[in-house]
Amino acid sequence: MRKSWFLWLFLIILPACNSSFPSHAAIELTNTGAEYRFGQVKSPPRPLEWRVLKNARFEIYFYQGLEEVAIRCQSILEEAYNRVYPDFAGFFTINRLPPVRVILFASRRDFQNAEATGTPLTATPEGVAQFLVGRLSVICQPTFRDLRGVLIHEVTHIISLHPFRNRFLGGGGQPPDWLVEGMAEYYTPADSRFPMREGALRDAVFREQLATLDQLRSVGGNLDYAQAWSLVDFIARKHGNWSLAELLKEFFINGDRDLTYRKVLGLSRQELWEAWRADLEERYQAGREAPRIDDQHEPWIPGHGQQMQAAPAGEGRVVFLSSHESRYLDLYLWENGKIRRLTEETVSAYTVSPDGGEIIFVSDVEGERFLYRLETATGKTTLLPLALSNPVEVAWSPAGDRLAVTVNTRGDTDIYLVNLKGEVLQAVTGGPADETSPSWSPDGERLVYVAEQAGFDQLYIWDGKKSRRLTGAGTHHREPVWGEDGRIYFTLGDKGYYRTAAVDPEEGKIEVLSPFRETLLHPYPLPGGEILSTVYQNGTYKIYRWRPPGHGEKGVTAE
Amino acid sequence: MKSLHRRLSAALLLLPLLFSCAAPVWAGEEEPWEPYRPRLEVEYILPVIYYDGSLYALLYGRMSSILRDRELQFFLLADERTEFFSYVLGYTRHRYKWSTGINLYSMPVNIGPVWASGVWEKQTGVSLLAAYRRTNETRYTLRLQWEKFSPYYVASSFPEDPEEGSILGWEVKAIKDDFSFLAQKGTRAYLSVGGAFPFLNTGYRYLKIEEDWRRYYPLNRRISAIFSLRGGKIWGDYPSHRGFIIGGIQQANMSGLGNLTNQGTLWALADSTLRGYRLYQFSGDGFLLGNLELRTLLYPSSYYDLRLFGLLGTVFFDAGQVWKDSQALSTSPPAAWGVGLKFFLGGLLVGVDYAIPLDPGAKPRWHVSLGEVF
Repeated sequence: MRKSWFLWLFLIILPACNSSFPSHAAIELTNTGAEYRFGQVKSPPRPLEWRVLKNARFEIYFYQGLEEVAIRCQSILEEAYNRVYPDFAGFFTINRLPPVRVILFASRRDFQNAEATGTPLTATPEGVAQFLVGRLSVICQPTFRDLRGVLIHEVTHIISLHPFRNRFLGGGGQPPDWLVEGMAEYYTPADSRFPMREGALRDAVFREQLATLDQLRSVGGNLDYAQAWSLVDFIARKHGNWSLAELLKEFFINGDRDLTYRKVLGLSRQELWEAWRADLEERYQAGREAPRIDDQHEPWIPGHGQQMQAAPAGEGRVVFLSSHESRYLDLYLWENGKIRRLTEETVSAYTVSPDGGEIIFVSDVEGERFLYRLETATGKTTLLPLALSNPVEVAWSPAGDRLAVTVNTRGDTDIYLVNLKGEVLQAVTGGPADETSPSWSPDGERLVYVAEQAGFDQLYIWDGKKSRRLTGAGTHHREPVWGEDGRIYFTLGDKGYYRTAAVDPEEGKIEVLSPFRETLLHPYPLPGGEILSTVYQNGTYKIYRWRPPGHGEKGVTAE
Repeated sequence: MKSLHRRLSAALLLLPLLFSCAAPVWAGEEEPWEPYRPRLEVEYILPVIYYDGSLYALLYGRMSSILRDRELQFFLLADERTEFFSYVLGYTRHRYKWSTGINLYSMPVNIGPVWASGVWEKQTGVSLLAAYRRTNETRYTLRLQWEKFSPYYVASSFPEDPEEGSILGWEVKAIKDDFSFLAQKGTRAYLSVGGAFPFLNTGYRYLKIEEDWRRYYPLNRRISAIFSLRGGKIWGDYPSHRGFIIGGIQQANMSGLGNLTNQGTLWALADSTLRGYRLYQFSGDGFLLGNLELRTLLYPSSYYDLRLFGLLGTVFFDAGQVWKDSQALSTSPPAAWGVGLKFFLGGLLVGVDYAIPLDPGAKPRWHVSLGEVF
């Protein structure tokens, strides 16, 4: 046999390329490179009738059911273009930016099952920018705000990286991930950025666990993205937006070396990192001196990976979401210290029936989001037919006869009342912005929900006929739950520091309840005065059960 | 010959253009959108030219429509010294549930695992393929393939004299795969029925049945038990070097015939496992092979926590038998037990096994594997 290295190159390149660039041609048919060649394939759950909506800058590919979303996407994409392109216009003086192709998917499962994405069946991104070919695959997000965030993030990748696509194939210097992903996050409007970006960043600053620039060469996970955003934001504030495009260009020329930083920013890499850290120390002061929650409490459920959104389910039981045994969130039931997995369907939201015997949850396991009804005792799950498409959240009324369902049928979320047959009874909201997080009053006559007002999330109360705004301060008010004591418990905060608070629904008087330095999410008040919360610490979400100071010891049952 | 290469190169470079046609323009009267029409575009082309006294030119490229419902991959290699002109060209069309494709190839292929040469042969052929994707876990494939093969290197350890010839084959295969590596749970199985018939000077007529069934049982978050059962039988006249060749950890020999495909462009992983015996030790027209493995994740504590590095320990037992012309090749079935380590390196499993044959006359052996062995 001739021992030419070239033949070995031949043998090595092909599998490598097949592996790196999935969706084989006829050579292997239907397998994606990231999957095992044995069998798992992409089988779309239903036939998709693809269409394209074009203008001079974007081509939006979508299928049945996404018509209105596609039109709204067009306006978001124009906004993205106007935000991002001017800072990178210098890259396009000779070759203009060709139309960006945006492929919309209704759900994660549709995204995974499409050949278009080039991703394996287990991929869990919100979008993928294939800047080499100017294609962008995006999953329609639960809310308009999320969709806007993802679209602007991914379009930033295309606009900023497209001029350098040949360098990716041809070798030479490469920009670090912190710049690439950080710019995408930086150009995303603050109100569309994932809320816990700053929560994770603040936690890392408090723990003195900021990553070095070397570590941020590769970015993965919420904290990395948060740090990347923060670093780019810092550079843009100190040196101007022009420096981002300049840095990107210099990275492609000189690589990630001190020379690049000195040339553009006049700082060494280490000096940049230290200046950034000092800036963050100054930015995150709120709550720094407060006590740590784990000085007083232990996580209520040991182990079980990421845990969140706990709610009582009758007879002392508690339901929560966890990614303990999969990459996705599933429902788990805690009962007398024992934990049972209830679903294997991927659950994004749920509500428990008043008697705790049933759970209705939202899942996109079938391709589109549907409501499913689960018997807690037997685990039997059935599809709950719904006259509206694309449910995002659901809240069971105290009498058990109605559901408040948040649906996204036109690109933004609205709240409807439906009966248990899924028939629409009444529209609660219908504005062009997102209305989310409905929660029933104990008498079942009113609903509290969240909508944005002047850049901040506020609580609104719907009394059966009309809505009124309950809160108005310049901070976020989220995740309301109407307690048995008549007060509304919610998450209050901004800049990565979220605390549990309660508001009087009549007077609007707010009392901050959590005294801890950590961010607390998804409060659920228990009748005895305790609160179940999801607490973010050191990259993990855990459920804690705690009592607000000065609120007495009135028993400790979960019911 | 070189001018022929040049002509072929030019023709193949132009081929992608044949698949790229202008999209007709249509606009609805009221809707602001238009129906999607697929059109091939270049995703990337990677050219490599190398000269060391002889000229080598390599071109690897990929074209696809925007939704990747049409795909064209091509690979061209001109090698002046050996005067081999190698090419692979695959065009695939995906529709709802169905994929169809055509595959043209001419290339040197190693029939054997990546770490040990078996037979190098030049394969030239064309295959028509179809797949019905019932679910993400199950599919059915149909393959019709003509191939001309001519061996040019044979490892001394290879048990058969490779033949030169051509074959017209077919295969129907049902595949189920709901295995989750992270959960260490599920089934991977296929049943294949295929064969060949003489047509226009092709020389083989045979019928072949082959099955592969593997089951993964998680015992707890770290420990899993894996059971595998493989078997196959060929009736008729087949190329002897493409029969069932068992021994050690290898991948290509059995499935080479089973898939009736060129193997060169496919990722090479081990497909048959009989540790404790040397590579290619048994060769025949029928086989049965079983494996039992107890696998423990030593680091980290959960498969879900696997990132760049992981370490697994295994205890295994392999046993099998190979028949030729209805005669068993060994009086007592070859069997071995052993222990091993698997290193999870950024998604790739690299295994090192130490196997002790039950046959008292046989020596223990080390084996290396890539990926999921079974």
